[in-house]
Parts: sequence; structure tokens; C-alpha cells
Amino acid sequence: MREQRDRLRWGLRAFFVAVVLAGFVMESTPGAAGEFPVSSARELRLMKAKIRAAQFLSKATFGPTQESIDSLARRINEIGFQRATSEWIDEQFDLPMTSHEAVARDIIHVDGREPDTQDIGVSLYRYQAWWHIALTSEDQLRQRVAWALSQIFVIGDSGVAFNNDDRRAKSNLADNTPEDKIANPHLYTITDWLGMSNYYDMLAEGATGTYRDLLENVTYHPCMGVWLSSNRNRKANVAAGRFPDENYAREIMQLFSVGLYHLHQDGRLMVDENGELIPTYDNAQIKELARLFTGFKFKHDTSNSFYAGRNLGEPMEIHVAEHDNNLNYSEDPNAPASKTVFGVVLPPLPAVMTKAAAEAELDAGLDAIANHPNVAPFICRLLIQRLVKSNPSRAYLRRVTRVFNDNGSGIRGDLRAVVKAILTDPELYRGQRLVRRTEPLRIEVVARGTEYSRLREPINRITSLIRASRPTTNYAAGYMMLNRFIESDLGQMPFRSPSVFNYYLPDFQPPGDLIGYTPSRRNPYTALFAPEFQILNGVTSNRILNRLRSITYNRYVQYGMRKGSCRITLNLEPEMELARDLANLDEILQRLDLLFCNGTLSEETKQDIKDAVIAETTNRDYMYKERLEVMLAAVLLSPDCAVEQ
Amino acid sequence: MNRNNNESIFTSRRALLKAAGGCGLMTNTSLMATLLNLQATKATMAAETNPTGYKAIVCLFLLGGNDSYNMLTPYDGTSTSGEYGDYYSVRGGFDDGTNNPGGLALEQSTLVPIAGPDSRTFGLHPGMASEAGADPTADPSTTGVARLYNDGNLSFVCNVGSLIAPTTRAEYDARTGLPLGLFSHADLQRHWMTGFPQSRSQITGWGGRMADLLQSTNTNPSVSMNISVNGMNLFQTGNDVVPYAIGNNGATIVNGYNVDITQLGRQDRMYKRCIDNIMDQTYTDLLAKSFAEATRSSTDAAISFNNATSAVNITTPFASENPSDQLEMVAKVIGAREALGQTRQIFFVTNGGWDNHNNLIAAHNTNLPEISRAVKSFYDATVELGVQDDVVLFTASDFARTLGTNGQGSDHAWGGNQIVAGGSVDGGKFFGDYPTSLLSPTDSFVGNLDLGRGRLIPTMSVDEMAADLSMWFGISNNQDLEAVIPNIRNFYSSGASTAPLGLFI
Repeated sequence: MREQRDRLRWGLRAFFVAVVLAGFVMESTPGAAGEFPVSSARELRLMKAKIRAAQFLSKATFGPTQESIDSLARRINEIGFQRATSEWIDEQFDLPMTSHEAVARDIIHVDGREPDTQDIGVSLYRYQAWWHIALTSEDQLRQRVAWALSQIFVIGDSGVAFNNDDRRAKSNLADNTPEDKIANPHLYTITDWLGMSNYYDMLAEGATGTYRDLLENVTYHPCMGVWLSSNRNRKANVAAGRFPDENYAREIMQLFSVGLYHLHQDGRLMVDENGELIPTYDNAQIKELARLFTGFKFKHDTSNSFYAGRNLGEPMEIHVAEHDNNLNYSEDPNAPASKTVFGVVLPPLPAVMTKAAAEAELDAGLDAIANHPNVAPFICRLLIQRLVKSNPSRAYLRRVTRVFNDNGSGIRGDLRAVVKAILTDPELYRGQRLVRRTEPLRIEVVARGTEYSRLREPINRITSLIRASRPTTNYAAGYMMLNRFIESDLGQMPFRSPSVFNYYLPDFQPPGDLIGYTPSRRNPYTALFAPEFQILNGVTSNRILNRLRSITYNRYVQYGMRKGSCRITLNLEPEMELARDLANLDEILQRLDLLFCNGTLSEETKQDIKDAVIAETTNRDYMYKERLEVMLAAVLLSPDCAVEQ
Repeated sequence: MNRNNNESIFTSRRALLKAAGGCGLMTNTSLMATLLNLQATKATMAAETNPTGYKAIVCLFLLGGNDSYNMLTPYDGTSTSGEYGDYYSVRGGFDDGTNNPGGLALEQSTLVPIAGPDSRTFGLHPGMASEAGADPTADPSTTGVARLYNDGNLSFVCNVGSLIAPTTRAEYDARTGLPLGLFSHADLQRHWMTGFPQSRSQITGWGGRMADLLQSTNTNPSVSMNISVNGMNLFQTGNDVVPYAIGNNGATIVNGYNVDITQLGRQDRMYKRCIDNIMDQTYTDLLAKSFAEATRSSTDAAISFNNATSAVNITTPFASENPSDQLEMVAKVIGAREALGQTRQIFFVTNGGWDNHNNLIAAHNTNLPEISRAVKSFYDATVELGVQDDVVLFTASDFARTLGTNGQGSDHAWGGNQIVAGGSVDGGKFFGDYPTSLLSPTDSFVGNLDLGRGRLIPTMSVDEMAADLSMWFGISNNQDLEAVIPNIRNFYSSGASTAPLGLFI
């Protein structure tokens, strides 16, 4: 049928040249197009599946590889996109989780050290472990979702003691000697700096749990307690002029759950009868919640002191004497005997506070937050922004929030189901139309453009470059790592958000054409956003170019490690061999396009690159390496590739 | 070109751009490139705004909310009497390390006394006397920020914060006309930068809007007059102007790229051709278009920028730390103003670590000396460059913090104290009202300032402070000032010839 239509169109073109030319121009206006010539209908079908697979994997992993594209594409051809990706997601989520804490510990042991080896900047192993996992772990989906969650439940490594190399006694039986630390490890906490890896593991684990459980784990995690100062948060003492810290109370609502304004389930902002936005909470609610988040102390096995120890590896505990009891210590002496959260009255507390009562009150408070109708549209939008696209449509949000509110088995906030809904939704691939063309037989990839695209996170530009380049490492035990300091090139580094507001805001608009642009009504907002542009500036733009140039020219990535250095060698030999002949430039670019850009390279960009190569190296086939290096650099820096569909 | 004289430069330039290219918003670079090709336009602009000489504004933003009632404290009286007594009491007394943990008061004997208004004496945090390269045994009144104040080159703006309009306690209690999201970082930082606290959707800042009006007085097409030493930010983002972000060492150029292709090896010639070809494409995807423009302008800008600034040599000592490193770079850029073709510059510098819910005292002992060293060195560098009367530095911060302690530090509050420094500042003064009692702070207009826990309603708006800076910078008190500071008429009337505070001599 499609073939007939194409044949008819070509026939018409032959007769009505002028009309056809006009029509052609019209067709190409929606967005740039690139082509993949194929030799048979069978090959065409496979190539289509490969492009779809690459597009999917670029969002569900830290970057596709040749093997992962091929295997998913085969499956897509067998059972269709929806079922193949569903199956892939299930397989991925069923894989054992790679633990950041365990990998960091293992790298240290490979280096012949301990996590509490002093004075060597041991905390930097945290970042080495992150890179190894992003580049090589099998459980790519879980790790990619953990990276997304870490940009929602944000902590940064500037928290007090987060980078310390101390293991601390958590029992009065510990005598703090090196011998005792070895003989009786159960008397000691994990090394402080591993706390953040432990937190990240909690997020990775949470990727297949419920939102409500994750919210609780985040709330009780000691790193969050330190970061947003709910740890050692005391109940009020009005006479002494002391009131509970409001930090966590504010941010849990503003950033981790409901956001600032009431939302429809399709992401649109609600308005009142005057057309005004409706705030989700006021300062009174913050103060109320601040009283709920009182009494958190570090876990300690023997001491009853509120201030005992520091333990960044186990959930905080409630110290009953410092948990606000609604009676004598509230700011308002006439306060009711129960706290209220979003209209839900929490259970009253007994006159003599118990740990169980305090925990039950916290449970009820977290329930009230997690059950707020805003959570689904607020959290789902953030997840979609991190995984798929910057501006999800109302229909996309509606489909995903429906799953958030009920996974089909009556469970709310089932994140595994939510991630699956996000990644199997047709909107994931709708940014790229794959059009069959004939004479010659080929696939035309047409980008739909602005509303469908996203600037790749700089971190993902680097991981996908390495993963697709058949990398090998020279480091012991096969560890494949970069370090923390690439941050100055990228403006972004896991564990290093400058504040609880992440590297960029979900509503950031770059100066320029996007401001004032009115999107279609498919969109929940009257404006489009592009958060990742917030970290693209006059410094990072040039530094990323320089980093890409050095990686492609060297064909390796090498960074100093805590011990020695790690060189990741990129294997581009097959493409390099092709580069010995200028006649192969098209084929090289198609390969690079599929591996590194999911088929988004336009013909114009390919022509730009070919022109440059031909202009400088005609009759210089001995420069085949240089040709390939520049072609890869040019592909990676191109807007077609940096902006994904 | 026939133009209506009553039309503000802002609207008229838009109209002109439309006529010229049919395009709406453009990046700073392409905008300037367009304007520079329209000589008639440029001449008209210059005639209308009529700015004279060189001027620069430096915003030093203390991220997280400086507890500024410990930067500048009451001094008169004792721990049990007078203004200091009230301060001592409201801050929960002094924490000597063993007794009274969590007390936030500074000990009177450690303060650096300075003369305030109405024969009142105030105390500067001892860190405010810190100065790079100064003799540590020197009289603290002769070094650092204390010295600048005593020499008349620095003043304080007191109890200033974001307001939509002058706000009484009764209005606060009725929750009318208040800034959105009071006491949250994101909101109060945004409000300081946008000058539009009734909205979170304002996407330009008053530094950016000033630059929109004055950018045309500069002559270099590749560098924005708004230069940030700390990334993109709302304060410097205008409708047309994009902040230019540099690092402490200036701009990072693109390796392997040179405007003159013959200067490159053959591989980089391929590379340069690719960049030029690809970035000069017309992109219909607006994200791709924005990305290409950012790449192109970053590449070009860094080259011309570094050519200009590397020629500048500053001998004034700066401490090797932030924000001194950033301000030293700012001084170099100021030194390169002629090469950059800039007669107006706005700088943005940030310093983190002020959200001291805990460890307030220790954090201040680190942070405030860093500020003092940076501000003093920067002022000295402007003297070295001979532009001390043409450059003003001001501090901003999300909010001040609760005067009451939370047992470890202090929480988010509202009105606080800020620094304004420069040779043309009416120095050694307080602008606005520092409450005579921090224990029961009141104001004749507002009423009781204390919203509980020592959160003070501002008695001075960011808008008024911004208006002084804008008018000094060359913005006229007409519709141009309204374009820069949308709520200004709630505080200051049109046509008045003296600025609201009178910050400048």
C-alpha cells in the first residue's frame, strides 16, 4: 500500500515538476531529514527497527552499543516495538542491582586500600564507581532511572562530612583502635564518604519500588538529614525562642512531591475563578510540617544521646524527647493536639511520647504527602524530562499519571510501572518519523522538531560516546572510569549538584527563540522549556567542544585515578578502514549516525562534514585516521546530535 | 529614519529590528551584529540614551541567605542593656563552645565598632576587617570592609528585601500583596534578580533589562556587556541580552579553531570547516537553533575576549580564593573595557555557603573574611585602574535569616543588610532603617516588623536600591526605569530627579 502511494507520488513528480518541487519544500519544512539507503525491503525493515532501538536505548540506558541496538532491533522485528521494549524493560529490572557502595569498595580493594584509608582523598572513589557503573553495568535501565531520581531527590556532596574518610563508632563497646575496627566491624559505621553512594543505591533500589516507600527512605536517610538539616532538628522551645528547622519541610513539598501549584493530571496548571494559580501550600503548612520532621538523630546502637555519633550509612532514628509532641512546645500554645498535612489530620500523640507513636505520625504525614493528587503530574513530568523529552504532551502525561495513580493492581506510585509507561509510550519515538522512500529504496528520518526534542545532558553525551565506541580499559579488574573533574567541562557531575535545585530547573528557558514561542495545545503549558540549556554557557560550550575534540583525536579517554590513571581506548578501526576511501564517507556517516545520534543527522549536516573532509584531504588518503577523528568530532558537536528527538 | 521621540528605546529598537530582518528575538551576538550594520540606528540610540563615560555594576550574590544581622550588628549597650542587649537576647546569647550551644550572638568585644546614623554605634563582624596582604596586627578599623566604610567608600543598605509595594504588618497578616513563595531560596533569589516578586514566570532580570536598554552604547559585537563569572543567571538575562559566562581565568577558547584557517594544521582545518558549516546552517528546531547559536557565539566571543583581557595587568593583591578570584577577573575585564568596546558593563559574581541552618558561627568566620578581602581588593584594583568612581559593587542575598536560633543555626527570613561599595558611593552611611531594637523591631509605617522568630518585614525594597543603581548607570526616571523595574512606581514617583536612596554622591 505504502509502496503504491510512493510510486504514485514519484509518477506525479515526473509530470508536474513545479508542483512537486513546491510539495517537496513543504514536506521538508517540519524538520531536518536524514537518509538511510537500503538494498531490500527486508533490510529496510531491519534498519527501521535499528533506528527505533537506538532511539529507545538512548533514553533507557547511558547510551546504545552496536550489540544492544542489534539485539533489540531483532526483537522489535519479531514482536513489535511495544512488546519488545516491554520485554527488555522487564529483563532489565529483573537483573541484580549493581551497588555503587559495593563497586566503590571493590575498586579500593583492587587498589590495595581500605575505604577508610586516610589522607588520600578516598572519597573520590565515589565518582570512579559511578563512571564504571554508567559505562559498563548490565542493569543500565535501573542505573539510568537512579540518575534521574538523583536529579529529583537531590543531594550534593557539600553536606557536612560527606567526603570524610572516617569510620565512626556506633556503639559504646567500640574502642576506636585500628585493630578493633578490623576485628569488630559491626561496632562501626560505614566510612562517611560512602554515605552518598549508599543514598544513591537507595534510589537505584527505589526505581522498582513505590514512590511512597522511596519518599520515606529519602526522609530517613542520614545524608538527606544532613543536607536539608532535618537531622538533629529539635522540637520548639518557645520560651527560649527556638523553633523547628523548616528546610526539609519546605523542600519535600516544593521539590520532592507536589510542587508549588495545583496541577491537573495532564500537567496543566489549575486556576481559580479569578484565573490565578492555586498554591499547594502556605507558610503555615511549612511550619506545621517542620514540627513533624523533628527528632531525627543518627543511628547509634548504644547511646541515647540526641547528638551521639555520625552514621551516614543507616536510616536515622527518632529521638522521642525531641519529637514535637503537639502539647507544650508548639509555637502556638493553643495549637490543636494533632498536626494537619494537606488537610489530613495526623494521629494524636500520647502524653508520654513513644518512638512508635512518633513513627506512626511520620508515616501518616508521608502518606498525606504521597497521596496528594499533584504527586503524579509533578513527579511524572520530572521523570519524563530526565528520561525522554523536555516537553511531554498532555496526552503523554495523562497516560503516565494514570499508571502512577494506579498500576492496574490498585497500587499507587509503582515506579517500575511508571518507568515502563514512560518508556513504552509512542511519544518516546514520535519525534522521529521514519518514512519509506523509493528509487533508491531508503528510509528518510524526519525530525518533528522543537516540541519533541531535548538537549542531551552533557553527562549522557560523554557516556553514550564511550559506550558506542567499543571501549576497552587498561585498568586492573576491568574497571572503566573517568573522575570527578570532568565536571568543569560539562557543568554537571553526579553527586555534585550545587543545591537542592539540581543542575537546572525544569522550567528553564534559554535566552533566544524559545522565549515567546507558543507551542501547540497538545502541550500543558503555554511555553516550552529546555532545562539542560541552563548549564550550557560561554564556558561549558567551549570546554565540551574541547573535550570532544581531545577524545576523538586521541581515540581514548584518560583521567587520573586515586591510584594511577585509567585509559579507555575507543575502537573505531572498522570505520577508520573505511575512511581510507572518500567514496565511503556516506557509509561512515550512516554508521556514526546510528551509533551516536539515533539517526538524527540531517543530509545537510552530513554534506557539511563531507565538504570539509573533501576540501582538505582529497588525494590524501593517508590521512584516513584524521578524517575519521574529525568526522566523529563533527557528528558529536552537531546540533543534530546534541539535540535528540 | 523617522522615529517618534516619545517612544522608548526599548520598543523602538524592537520595531526597527522587525523592519530590518523580520525577526523577533535574537541572541545578543546576532542582535549586535545586526545593529552595527545599521549605522543610523546606532547613532539614534546613542543620542537617545545619552550615557556618558564608563560605568560598571558588579553584583556579588551571596547564595543561600546571609545572616546579615551578624555581619552588621548593634553595638550600643551591654549584653543586658541597650541595642546590643536586645541583639544578644534575640540571638539566644553567646555560645562559648561549652555553655549555651546554638547561641548565635557575637561577643561585643570581638566586634569592630563603626559610627552609624543618629550617633548610634554598630559592630562589624570581626571578619569584615580582613584584607589580603594586610598586617594582621593592624587596627581592624583600618583594613578590609571596615576601612572602606570608614574612608567613605562603602555604605550599608539596611533591612532591604523583595517587596511588591511598601508592606505593613497588617497587610502581611492579611496576606495581601506579598511576594510569592516567601522564605524559599528559589523564590527569593529569583525575586532579587527579577525585581518582580508577584510572579515566578518572569524570565528576565533587572540587570538584563538595563542591558537591553544600554547594550547599544557598546561597540563590540561578540561580547555581551553582561558578564558572569558564575554561569547563566536570571539577573543578567534580558529580553535580548544573554549573559556571557567566563571563568576565573577568563574565557576558554575552542582548541583547534582559528578565525584564520591558514593558522591551522590540516586536521584542524577540516575540523574548523565542519564547525563553521554546521553552525551556520538554518535550524528549524528551535533547540537546535539555540544550541548552534550558543556554540557559535561562544567560539567567537572567547577569542576576542581573551585578546582584550590578557593585555591587562593588575598588581593589586587578591587572595587566592573565591570570590576574590572572580573579582580579580572582573577587574581585568574592566581594564579591557576599551578593547572590548564597552562603556557599560554589568558583572555577576556568586559566593556559596550561606545557608547556615547549622554551623552558622563557624561558617561566618570563614565566609565573611572572604567577602571582606574580595571587596577590599576589588576596590583597590579599581583605584589602580583609575575607575573607582565609575564602578560600584553591591551584595545581594536570598534573604537574611531568623534572628532566633534553631539550636544549630538560623532559618530563612526576609529583610537584611547589604553592602554597596565604590568611589562614587556616599560612603560611611546607612541607607534605610536598621531597627533600633532587634528584640522588638518596629517601624512607624510598617508596625511590628517581627513575623515571629525574628523574621523581619523589609523596610526598604530591592526595587529602591535597584533604582538608585539603574539611575546612576544611565537609565532615565521615565518609562525606561519602569521597563527595568516594573514595580518601581509603588515606591518612587516618575520624574523625580533624585534617586530614592541617594546612594551616590
